[in-house]
Amino acid sequence: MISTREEVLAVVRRHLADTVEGIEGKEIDPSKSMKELGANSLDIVEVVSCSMRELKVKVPRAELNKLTNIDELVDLLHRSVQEKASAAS
Amino acid sequence: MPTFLKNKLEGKAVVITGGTDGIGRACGLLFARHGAHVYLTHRWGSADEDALRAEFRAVGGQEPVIVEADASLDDDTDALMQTIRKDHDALEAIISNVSFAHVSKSHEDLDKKSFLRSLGYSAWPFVGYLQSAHKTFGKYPRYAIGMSSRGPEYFLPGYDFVAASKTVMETFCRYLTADLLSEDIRINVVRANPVETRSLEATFGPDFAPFCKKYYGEGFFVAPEEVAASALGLCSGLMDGVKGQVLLLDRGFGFADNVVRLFSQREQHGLSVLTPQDRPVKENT
Repeated sequence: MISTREEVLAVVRRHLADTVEGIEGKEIDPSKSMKELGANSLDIVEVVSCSMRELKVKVPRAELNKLTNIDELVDLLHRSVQEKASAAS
Repeated sequence: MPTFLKNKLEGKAVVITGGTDGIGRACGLLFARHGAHVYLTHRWGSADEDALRAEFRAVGGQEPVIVEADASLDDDTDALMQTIRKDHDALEAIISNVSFAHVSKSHEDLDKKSFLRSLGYSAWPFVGYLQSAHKTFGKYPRYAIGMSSRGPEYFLPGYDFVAASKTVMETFCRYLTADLLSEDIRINVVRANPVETRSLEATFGPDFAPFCKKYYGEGFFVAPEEVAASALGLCSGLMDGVKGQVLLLDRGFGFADNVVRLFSQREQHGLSVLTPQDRPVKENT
């Protein structure tokens, strides 16, 4: 079960690599935005929704709209994973 | 409310993809008001489900079943159909409303991956939902309606993939109708003028609606409720002879939506190119 921030980052990185044209095999800098990495609007939705699906969490769109880079997305998803885990325990 | 409609739809299952907002929500509310048991799908998990259920109660409808289902994923579609199967032996209608496609900035911004994904979200569900319904219930729904837009017939900036996806859906409407002529199903598409939704603003930006209203009039935009009413009409039983059609819902505005109409109103809008001094004096003959 995924629980650490590093694991969440790995999930997001994998979906970025699978989705965004031309970044497979390249180093992904999480301090950058997805747009800076070449993602279009469809890519961004794909990466976020695939990550949420794999992590089994839901994040309101309003929260996602505030994010400025990948690190912030990972933080938000990680927080959701932790909240879900503590609610279940 | 016509009693025959209530009698026709009472307790019957109706699926609406992208049903928690905009046109989908309007369809859901209208069908529920007429007695249908509505299943609303969404992808993001961002809908305020309590507020949505309260809206359904307010119109006197049965509360909807809200299902997170990615319309592009056949597994999600199959799971949705199984959920419906628990309470219903048949599906009355599928309204394929969800559309999600890459809005391009220029032709260089068009890529194959985004194109295929756009088709997966916006065109394939029209077919995938029917196939899954048939697999699950052993028959097709009585009605299938696809929500299209004006993109296939006229230019909208950055709309390449959306228009292409809608065109594919419209093509499926005609071909599926021909393929399934012996089945108890009526497949049609509603091609509506732009509707003021969050999706419209996200696609064309905040200037689009005010600009169109200024230079064309309020009537250019159709209301989600009008689109919903047309869907209900197609599922009412009164239009069962209508099959395989792409129906234009434009309040008659489409015919004159061109530069010549704008030319005819150029002075009203301050768009004249010539000044009064530039205009030739007409001679009396």
